Amino acid sequence: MSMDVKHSRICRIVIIVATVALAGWFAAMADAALVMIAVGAGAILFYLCKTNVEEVIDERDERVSEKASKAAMVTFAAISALAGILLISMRNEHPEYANAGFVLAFSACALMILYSVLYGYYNRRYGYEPYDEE
Amino acid sequence: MRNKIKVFRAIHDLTQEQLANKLGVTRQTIIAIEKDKYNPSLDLAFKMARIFDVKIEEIFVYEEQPQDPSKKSQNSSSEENSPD
Repeated sequence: MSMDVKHSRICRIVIIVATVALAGWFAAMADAALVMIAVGAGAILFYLCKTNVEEVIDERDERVSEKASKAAMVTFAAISALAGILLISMRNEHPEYANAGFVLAFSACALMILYSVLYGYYNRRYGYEPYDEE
Repeated sequence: MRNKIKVFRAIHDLTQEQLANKLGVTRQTIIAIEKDKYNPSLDLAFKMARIFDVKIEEIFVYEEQPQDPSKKSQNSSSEENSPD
């Protein structure tokens, strides 16, 4: 079954929404097995939907993707770090928020560490060489 | 950077879609380049030059960005203050 790019995109959005809704519902029912099945089925359908279409991904798409990824990462890291610190600092008045604060703050840290590691990897892959000391 | 892709497309009687297919990019990319909203990579620029059978400089015209006047004055003052 082949489809055009527009239908493939709609199909992928529907699959993502349905998978997230189902996984969220099963998570609310506290059934980890059903969550795994829903996510697995969603991933397979997503893959099938993507492989059945010849979509041209060119350099401009990659540039747009890079810019969007960086903006999303910086925004998420800044907001989660600030929210985390705020929630942690409120632990005397609202101790129930402290754990959420730690999760947010550590998520921001983990994201920045992952970014640094990947930056170093791609920097070397694309030709970085330390200056020769003479 | 300005470009004359539209002119060369007209000379070679190519639509944006046809040029995009020849280059292996999307039509959106051709539109963005023609409107000077996106500068193509060297690879894409060379491919374009080959398709139109001209030199890159004939398609793309590099224009230096005008310098910020405040930075220029800072640079000139630092040059004046430099010991050399």
